[in-house]
Amino acid sequence: MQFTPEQQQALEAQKANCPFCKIIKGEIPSKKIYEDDKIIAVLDINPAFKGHTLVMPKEHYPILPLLPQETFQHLAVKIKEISKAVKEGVLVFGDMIFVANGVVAGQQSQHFLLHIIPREKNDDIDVFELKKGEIDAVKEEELYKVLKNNLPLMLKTTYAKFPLQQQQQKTSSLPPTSYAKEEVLAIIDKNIPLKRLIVENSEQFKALAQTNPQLQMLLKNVVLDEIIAIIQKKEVKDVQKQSKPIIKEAEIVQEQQQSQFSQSPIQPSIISQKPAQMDVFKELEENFKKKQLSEQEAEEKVYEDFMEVLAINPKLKYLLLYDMPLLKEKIAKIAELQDIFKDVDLAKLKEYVEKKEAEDNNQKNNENNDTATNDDENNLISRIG
Amino acid sequence: MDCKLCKIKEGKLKAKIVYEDAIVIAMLSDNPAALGHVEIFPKQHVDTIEALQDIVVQQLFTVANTTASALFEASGAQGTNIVMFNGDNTNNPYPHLVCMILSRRENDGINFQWKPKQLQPEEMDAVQSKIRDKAFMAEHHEKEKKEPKKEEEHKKQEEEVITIEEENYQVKQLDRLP
Repeated sequence: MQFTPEQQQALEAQKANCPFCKIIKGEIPSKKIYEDDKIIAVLDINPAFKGHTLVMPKEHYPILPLLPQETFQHLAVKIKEISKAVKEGVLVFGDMIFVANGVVAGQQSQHFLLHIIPREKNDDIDVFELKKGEIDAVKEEELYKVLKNNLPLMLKTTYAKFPLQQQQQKTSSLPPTSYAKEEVLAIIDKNIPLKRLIVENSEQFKALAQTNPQLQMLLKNVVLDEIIAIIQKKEVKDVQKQSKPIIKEAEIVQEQQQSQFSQSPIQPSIISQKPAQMDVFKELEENFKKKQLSEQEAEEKVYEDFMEVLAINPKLKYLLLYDMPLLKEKIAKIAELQDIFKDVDLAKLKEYVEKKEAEDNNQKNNENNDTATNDDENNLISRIG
Repeated sequence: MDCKLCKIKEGKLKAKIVYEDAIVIAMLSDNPAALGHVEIFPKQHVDTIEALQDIVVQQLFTVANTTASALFEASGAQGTNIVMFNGDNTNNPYPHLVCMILSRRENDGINFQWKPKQLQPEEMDAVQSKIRDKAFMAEHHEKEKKEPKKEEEHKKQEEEVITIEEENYQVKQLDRLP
């Protein structure tokens, strides 16, 4: 809006005395609830209802038509959010959005304000019940014709002046609508259930991608099959890296067993000598037993790891010991359980767990017995002495 | 639909429509409170502006603003009011979101002056803190909404299976009791 120099002077005089400009600068204390670079929202000091909010642009404008288009568009969007916040904060379901242009209309401050007044049933606010007034029908008809003629033209000119700004704000206020390939891969990496789905059941993922609007948006600019192929390759590499150390351990154990066995090679000359033969066979027996033990130990090592897992998951332990078929069903359904129980003989695991449980129970019983006997002795001593 | 405004939109009821486009309709009111009472409503049947998209809200405000200026010039008013009935319990004569533009003169019989209340400072502080958190959250909420939703879908499937395990565990415990 272009003002005459007199109007400009009057406007600047207004600004100097404006209490709301001072609130915006921080010279007067206020209860702020929202602020950004264009607008600010504060609570009204004399509210009509708890939560009565005033929303205003940071620049000083007397009335709404004088606001520049950018600020106006920004304000329109922010009012929606602030109204929602007010309703949620005060727990009401409705509010009034009220603008007064002009003293006659009830404008009490010279700085343009927008009121958000929360409403409730049986609040004492009756000013918004509009009653029918007496109106001259002729004048109304005239007004109707004039408005019908002028309003569409006025709106056309405003849209003609400010179409680009509308489009710019469209893109800036919405979240990003298209993702580059690296961004898509990064997002999927972070999202483990989604990654797993792609790796294991890529067809289900494809079906989901067509129905789920978020996935559609994510995968808009990206070739679906390419992404699936890249992620599957990555997963295989990661899995190989993880599984390598385990394989190494198993190899080491096998080497140790072989070395033990090779320490005493059977030579025909030794076997023919009888007395020494017995020693040799004894040695062989011992080595064989050692090998068995070492195999057992290797197995038990694996089962020890399981003991930790079962200690964390008492439900799993219970199922293993008392309901094997149900556990097998679960393993068939849940992928995580499949990972844990891969290549494990459930029956042997069960025996191992039972053995361990029995040992623990015996230890506990022994401890209890010890304490009990100590008590008996003490009692005897006290009775005697 | 029992909504008068929706019927006007469909053309089943007559009204003095002043402006219409794909998103909003502006018409002269049937029960005018003063000379120059225009009602603007979106074609979408909603209760509150939160249910509308940003672009629709911007359009609504632009039409309201332009109508206020037009009324000011056409009817020789001294001021204008824009009143939006946003939600329940707002004395909205329609079951549909509506924005009323009124041209004002002296002694026209309308008074929007509400009774101001004095609230305790603790109450004011409490209200301020509640609203402020939600108002600032609203900005970041949109960006965070998208990614957590995908995880939720898969989590739900896992949760169902775990609850079945629990039930069996408890039932079996009962069986073991003598």
